[in-house]
Parts: sequence; structure tokens; C-alpha cells
Amino acid sequence: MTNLGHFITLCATILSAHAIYEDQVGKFDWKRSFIGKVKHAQFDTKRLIVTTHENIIASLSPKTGEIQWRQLMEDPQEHQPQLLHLDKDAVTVSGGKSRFYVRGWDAPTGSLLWEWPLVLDRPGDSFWLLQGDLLVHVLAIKGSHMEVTQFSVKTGEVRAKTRKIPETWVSGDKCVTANPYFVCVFNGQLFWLDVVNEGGRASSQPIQGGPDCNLLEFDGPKPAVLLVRQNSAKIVELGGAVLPHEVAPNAVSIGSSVFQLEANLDNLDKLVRVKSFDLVSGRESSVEIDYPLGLGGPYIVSGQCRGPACELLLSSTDHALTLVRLPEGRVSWTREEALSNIISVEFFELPVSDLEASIETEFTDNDVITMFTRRISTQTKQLVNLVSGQFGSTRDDFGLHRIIVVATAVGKLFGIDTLRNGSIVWTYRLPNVKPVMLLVQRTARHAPLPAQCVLLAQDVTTGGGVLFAFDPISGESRGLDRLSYRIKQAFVAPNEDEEHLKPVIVIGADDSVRVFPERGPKTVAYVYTIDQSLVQGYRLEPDGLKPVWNLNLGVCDLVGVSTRPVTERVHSQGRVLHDRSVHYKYVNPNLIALATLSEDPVHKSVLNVFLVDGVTGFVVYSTSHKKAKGPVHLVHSENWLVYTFFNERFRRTEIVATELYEGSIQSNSTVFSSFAISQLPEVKTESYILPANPVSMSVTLTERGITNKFLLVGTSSGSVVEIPWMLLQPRFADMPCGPEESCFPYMPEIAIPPEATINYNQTLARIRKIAVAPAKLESTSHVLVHGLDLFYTRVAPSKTFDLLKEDFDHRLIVLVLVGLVVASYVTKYLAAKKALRQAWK
Amino acid sequence: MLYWCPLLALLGAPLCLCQASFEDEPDSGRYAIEGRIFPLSDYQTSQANWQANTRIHVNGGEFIGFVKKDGSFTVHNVPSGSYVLEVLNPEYTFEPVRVEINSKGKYRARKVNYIQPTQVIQVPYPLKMKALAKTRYFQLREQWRITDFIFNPMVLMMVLPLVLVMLLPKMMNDPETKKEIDQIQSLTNFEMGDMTDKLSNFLAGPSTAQQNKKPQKSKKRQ
Repeated sequence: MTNLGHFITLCATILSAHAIYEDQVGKFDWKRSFIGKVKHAQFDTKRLIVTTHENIIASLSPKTGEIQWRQLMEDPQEHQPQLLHLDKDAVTVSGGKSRFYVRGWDAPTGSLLWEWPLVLDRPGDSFWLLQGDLLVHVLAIKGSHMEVTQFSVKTGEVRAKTRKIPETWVSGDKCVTANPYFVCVFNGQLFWLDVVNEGGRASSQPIQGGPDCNLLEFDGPKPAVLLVRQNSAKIVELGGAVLPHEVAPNAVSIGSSVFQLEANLDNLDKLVRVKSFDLVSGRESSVEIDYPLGLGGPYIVSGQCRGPACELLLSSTDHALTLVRLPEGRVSWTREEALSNIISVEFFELPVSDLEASIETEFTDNDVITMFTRRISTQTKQLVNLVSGQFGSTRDDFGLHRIIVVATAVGKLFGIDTLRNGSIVWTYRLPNVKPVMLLVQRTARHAPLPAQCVLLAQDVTTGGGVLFAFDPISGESRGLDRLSYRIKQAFVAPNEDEEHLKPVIVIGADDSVRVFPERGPKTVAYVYTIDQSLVQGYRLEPDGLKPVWNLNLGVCDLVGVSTRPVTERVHSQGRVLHDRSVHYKYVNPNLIALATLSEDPVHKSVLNVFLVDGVTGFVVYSTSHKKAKGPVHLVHSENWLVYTFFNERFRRTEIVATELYEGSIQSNSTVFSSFAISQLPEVKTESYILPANPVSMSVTLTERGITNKFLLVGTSSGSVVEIPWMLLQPRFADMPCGPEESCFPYMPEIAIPPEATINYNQTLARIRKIAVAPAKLESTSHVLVHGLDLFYTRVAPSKTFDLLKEDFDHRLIVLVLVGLVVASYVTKYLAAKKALRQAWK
Repeated sequence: MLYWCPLLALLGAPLCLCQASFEDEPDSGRYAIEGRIFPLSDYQTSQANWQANTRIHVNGGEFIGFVKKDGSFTVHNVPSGSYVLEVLNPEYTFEPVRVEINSKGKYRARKVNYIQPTQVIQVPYPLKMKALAKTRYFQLREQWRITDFIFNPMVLMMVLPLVLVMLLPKMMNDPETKKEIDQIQSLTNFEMGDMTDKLSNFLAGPSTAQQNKKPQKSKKRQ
């Protein structure tokens, strides 16, 4: 009974240890929400409703660009928004292939009004038209016919039976809708058919131009389409004439005016010009806009005009969303939607201030007088800084102020400040590049040398490798290197050159080795590459690459790879058992954890997990789980491995912890060598039920590895929960487990209390990854959760033991001290008085 | 081929449920899971727009549903199988429910039990999801109270001797009590002295012998 009591109190202390207080909300964490690249947009008087390529419908404030509400629909991989119509309510059609959802949304609040699904019998190209409360669906079957169905938009009730219209001109990819027509280009002719009103006949009109012309939707006053040929377009009114104006393909009509963007080469401050002309009066006008530098090429998504004042919504090639007000040409706001898809994250320490850097040079002179004057001057400067309270973007004592460098999928780099609510410090745009990862060459520790980071990317058109070196603090470019070949593997060599620059070693697809910078020191290293299910190990020698080992995983899908973070330090070499003996950890820095899923006729699908030594190719440990399904998430740290999978037999998510030990004798306490294997490590393993659906998993990282470890698990419900490693750590079967051994008795289900949610009520949409970096403060790690949203916070797995508590009462201490001093003087006085009185007796 | 398993046969349940999740043609039947959310009574005051902030996730977002103004929800296009349905709201906790749809389109809803998947505790279908409680994300700050301070053992240790030091001399000044105390002291002194004398006399012999033995023992240990 007492044991249980002990256990409960221990549990309570550990589990409640990591919750934050309500008044800490927003003190060191921040969240930024995004919507992705905009697809459709409609203006309302008070709001701007958009749908995006992330299959999201959101309402933005036209004044500030803030998200008023946002609703995430199905997975954007398979479902895309097809139609957005804003009348009184917003209507969306989203879906893909053969499955669609029609939904009505309440525009002010964003709650659902109605919803109905549509499942098609056969796949084809679907087109949608909305007129009043009539929703028309056109299914184009290429070269044969089209099927037209009319629905009531609110209920999904079929108004008119599906009409099969045999028309050979239906081409699918060169068709658009122009209310109420369905228009296609076929054999140099333009065909259109009224699909809303029955009984219409297809009309056609010859067009000039070859087969390379394309059609674009054009929402004009009369039903019309844009006929695009190379870089110019013409407006074709259906049943009317081809308008004489030559317009850009991004032309948009608002009311009776047509707006288009042009590059403005006359004025280098205002690179973009909006040209507009009225279709009725033919009046033309042109406004230069102060389009922000650093954004990609813009195009108009939508707009709204009230008299002469117009608002244009621009999207750019780097997914930024900008609202421009006309006729002033002023940019109201910009949203960097590129941040909704981050590929790689690195945390950078800020450089020391010039003042602190000057200490380095203080003792270089031998002259006593100059040294003395320098000392006095720096100290006065320090005093001035202290009094004025100016610190700026320099390093703080605890390493809590960092610059987060992120590489986004569109090839734009951002520097984000961890403090100041995640404001963007700098951006850098690399066109036509697909980032792969960021590599740190030099940190800011080597003042006065600035930090340097390399972005490893792939050219979108050629597929060749791209290396872009930059200063992560200021965002300045240090040179771009385009390679003619694909990159197979790249890594940062551990040995620095005389400028403290770690060389990046790039291995091309043809096994060629290049070192960046080229004068970098030659190294001997072991490298591995993974090509589907073939893992290949090489030895990198000054004269080339030599294959050492390979591991064929067979017919399977590689679903997870994990290695230990390079900066991780293992503080304790062993685990102390109840009899005070030490069980030494098997800490192998070269381990690669691999997870594969393979089909099995009996067990459906089998999950295999391997721990492979990256130097020798030796499989240290392997295991398999039958009837296991993805998603599989792997985390390897210190001497342990944690992975999650879905158990199809019991239909639950399970989490497995595996720990490797050398045993009671440590083979080599100074240096680990993969070649010096005398025996296999001892493996302890235990599995648990995880009552959540993990989408990402990571582990906290601290400067010296003294602090306990927490597993950070991002779940599908949008929360990031921390699970103490101690809860998962495998127990020794034949040993007592209790609070004295700092061990919890085994529990099959891991409890996830709401206090363990590090993002409290800030639900994060579509979490992709959790990036972790140590702070200089041993107790603390930085955490950046990215997906559709960005969330930054600090976690302290063992509480902030190295900091005074935030609620430490300084006033009480001062009060008590003052009280004691006063009391001692008073008693002294009283005692003297008493002594005097007694002397007189 | 597929059959609905009888509720009584608990042992047979896992077997047939596994079969139910096997589906020859994934598009053979598409069903809709329906239900309604019953908010806590203080919903309307704290969260005016809770419908828009609430989502329905089936199997961790494989299928999703939205909540209408009246609290009802429908998750469309779900093939037959077994699903865990969760209600997600940032402020309130809801209990997840397992919904099973067999190939004939029959529904059954039961409580989620990950440890004993075979145990069936049925809940009504269409689902009635009630908010359990407001989610507590935060730790409560300890508040400073005077009672905590007074009953602190350190404070007690300081205060009690202080009380004794201050009060006892005052009591001594009272002539009657002084007399009484003197009496008691003389009595006890007398008795105690007597007893101690006897005891010391009695123990005089063996105690010296013991003292001689002790160093020997310690020498042996070395």
C-alpha cells in the first residue's frame, strides 16, 4: 500500500513536472498559422474567402491579412478544392478522381451549413458550375462524350437525370467552364455547349493559331474564355467576337475592367505595374505598385472594386500572398505562405556583440598603457550598455535567443527570431530549386568569423545538385554552386580547417567525391547511401570512394530511417541498478535505425526494424512485428530506439522501446570503435499502447545530456505531447522496480495527460516534423514544430533546475532580510536598556 | 462470407472483427457515421463559435467531419470496417468511440478499450458525444497562504522554543507557582539523586569491564 502511495506521488511529481502555468502562455512560445498556396479567392465586404492547394478554406481579414477562421478539409494529396463560390454563404467543392464533397460554410463564423458527398462510378475530368442553387457537374470522357448532372447545391438532390451528350470534341485537358457554358478547344476550333439549360446545342467557332493554344477561365461580364498562346492571350466572348486586346495570361476581370500585371523596367523601386482597361468604355490606366523586393513573380488571383478604389489579391511563385490597394498602388499586407511547407530547420546561435568580441584582442598588445586605456573604455561601454538596456541581436547568456533558419519547399530561405513572436529577420529566394537539407559549416562561436550554412538542393529542371552557402544570421549569400550531376549523399566532415569551416563532402550519383570548399582538409570517413531497399556503405579515402559493405533489405518499403543527432552527448555511461552495480550502455555513434514494411501472405504486412552499424554494415539488432501497418516513426538516441506502428490485430497504435547494453563490464571507456566488437549488445525491449495517432516523433536534446530525455510526439489531433523516456525505458525483468530505483512499474497503456501537451490549446494543423536544438542552459531545449503551422517553444524535461524559479519571491527575501536587520538593532537597543536597568538595581 | 458477430460471443469477437476489416472491394459500400455533440452547459458563454472549432476525426484523420450549428455531424464515404471516432476541440475533452460498420451496413458503437480490444461496452448509435470536462493544460500556481507559513515545520521549530523562552520566566515570577516548582524540584532532585546513586553503584563494576573490552573488539576488526 505504501509502495503504491510512493509510486503515485512519484508519478504525480514526474507527470506534472512539465506542465506550464497559465500565466506563461505566450511568454516564450509563439504560433504562426498559414494556409498554403491560394487557389481560389472571393471577396466579401468584410472578408476574403480563399481555398488553397492544402485543401483548406479560410477567411482572411482584408485589412490585416490575418486568418479569421480556417477549416482543413481532406488530405491535399488526394483531394483538391475544385470550386469556390461566395454568395451569402461560401460553397466549396473539393475532392479528386472520383470522390467529391460539396459543402456550404457560414461565411462569418466558418461553421458548416450543409454537406453532401458525391461518388462517381467512373473516373474522368470533372468540371463544376454553380448557378443560383443549381450545381452542375460535367464529367468529360475524352474523345467520346460528357455526362452532365444537375444537383441542388444544398441537399445534393439530383434535379435532372444525368445526360450523356456524345460529343467528340470533349478533350478534357483543354476544357474550361464559362458560366453557363462548357468550352473546349479541339482541332483548331472552339466548341461550347450550354450545360445549365437543357436542349442547347453545341456551337463552334474557328480560331487562329496552332494546336499549342490553351484555354483559361475568364470571369467577365459576358461568358468568355482566355485563349492563351505562348505568353499572350486574347479574350474570346462566346457567341461573340474575339476582342482585339492583347492581354497577359494572368488577366483578371473585375466588374467590366480587366486587370493585368506587367514587369516595370522603368522604375527599379517599383518593379511591378498594374495595367487595366475597361471593356465597355475602353479607358486604360496603369499604376506602379511598390511590390516588396524578395518576393517571386506575382499573378492576380482575385480582386474587388468599389468605385475607383480596387483591391487586388496577388499570389507569387514563392506562394506569398499580397493585397494591393489601387489606385495608390500600396501593398496592404503580405503573407509568407511558403512557411506552410518547411523541408529543413537549423537553429543558430547569435554572434557575440562587438564589445564582447573586442575582449579577444585585449591582450594582444604588450603596451601596458594602451591595454589599460582599452580596458577602461570597454568597461565604460559595458556600463553604458547596461544602463541604456540595449542588447539587440546579440548572444544572450543562456543561448535562448536564436535564429531559426528554415528552408521551404518552394526554395525560399527564412531567418526567424525565436524571441519577438517569431518575426522574420531575413528571407532569401532561390528560384527553380527544391531544397533537400541544411548543413552547418560554422557556428557563430568563432568570432570574428561569421557563421556559415549550406543549403543542399536540387535543381527543378535538370535535377542536378545545388549548393548555396549563406550567412545564417544576416541571410547574405556566400555563393551558389550548381553541379552538373545529381547528389547521392552529402555530409559535413567533422574536422575543421584553419578558418573553423567544416567542409561539406558531396558524393555524386557517379560516385565522384567533391569537397566544399575545395581547399578543405582531406578526410577518411565512412559513408552510407540508401537506394530504396539497398543500403550501401563506403569508405571515403583521399583518392576516392570504396564500397565496403551492402545490405539488401529485400522487397519492402523503407518507411523510416533515424540516426543519432550529431551534437548529442551521452552524459551517463551506464544505468545504476538496485544493488548499486552499473550496467553499461552500448553507445554506438554509428548506428543507423531502419524500418521497413513488407507484404506477407499470412500476416498481411510485416514491420522489420534494423539497427545497422554504419561503418561495418553489421546488423546489431533486428526485430519484426506481424500485422503491423504504418505510419512508422523511429527515434534513435543515446543507446535506445523508440518506434511506433499500428497493430492491425488489436487495432491500436503501439510504441516499442529498445535499449542496448554492454553489460556489467565496459569494453572501452574512452573511444568507441565499431570494429572492436567482442560480443553482441544485450537488448532490453518493452512495448506499450499509445492512445494517440502519432504523425511525428522527436526527442529532446540538451547541451550536455545530463537532463532527462523527453519524447515529443506530434499527434493527428494537432497536439504535441511529451512523454518522459523514463516511462518507456525497458525494465529489468528480475529486478525490483520502484521509486528508489527511479523506475515505474510497467503499465501497458501510456497515459497522456492534457498537461503533457506542450502547445496547450494551440492546435497545430498537419504537423510534419518536430525540430529540436539544445540551448546553452543545460535544462532547456528549443522546439520548433512545423507543418501547416509553426510553433516554437522551450521545454525543460527536468524542470529548469539551473534557473531561479520564475515565481521566486525577491520581495519576500528582501523583506525578511530588512526585517532581520531591523530586529537585531531593536533587540540590541532593548538589551542595552535592560542591562542598564539591572545595573541600577 | 462476412457476417455480423453476435454480441454474446466475446471470444469470437476479435476473429470476426478482423474479417470485417478485410474488404474485397474497397468501394463496394460507402457509409456515413452520424452523431451529435452535446456541449457542456457553459459552452455558449465561453466559446460562442464552438461548432467551427470542433472537428471529427475518424482513424486519426483518415476521414473527417465538421459540426453543424445544431451540433450534429456526419462523416461521409466510410467503407465498412472498424473505426475510432474522436471529437477534437481545443478547450474540451471528449471520449473517443469505436464505430464498427459491417458489410451489410449495420452499425455498432462501443467504448474504446485499447488494453482489452475484445471487451464490448456498447454505446447508443447514432452517437451522442458529450464533453467530459474542460481540458486542463496548465499547472496551478501555488498560492501563498498564512496557514502554510505557520504550519511550516521550520517556523514551528522556531516559534515553540521562543514561546517557551518568553513564557516560562514570566510564570517563574509568580510567587505561588515558584513555590510549587521549587517543591517539585526538591522532590525530584531527591528521588533522582537517590536513584542515580543506586544505579551508579550497581553499574560500577560491569561498566568498567565493558570499557576495557571495547578497544579489543575494534582491534580484531582491523
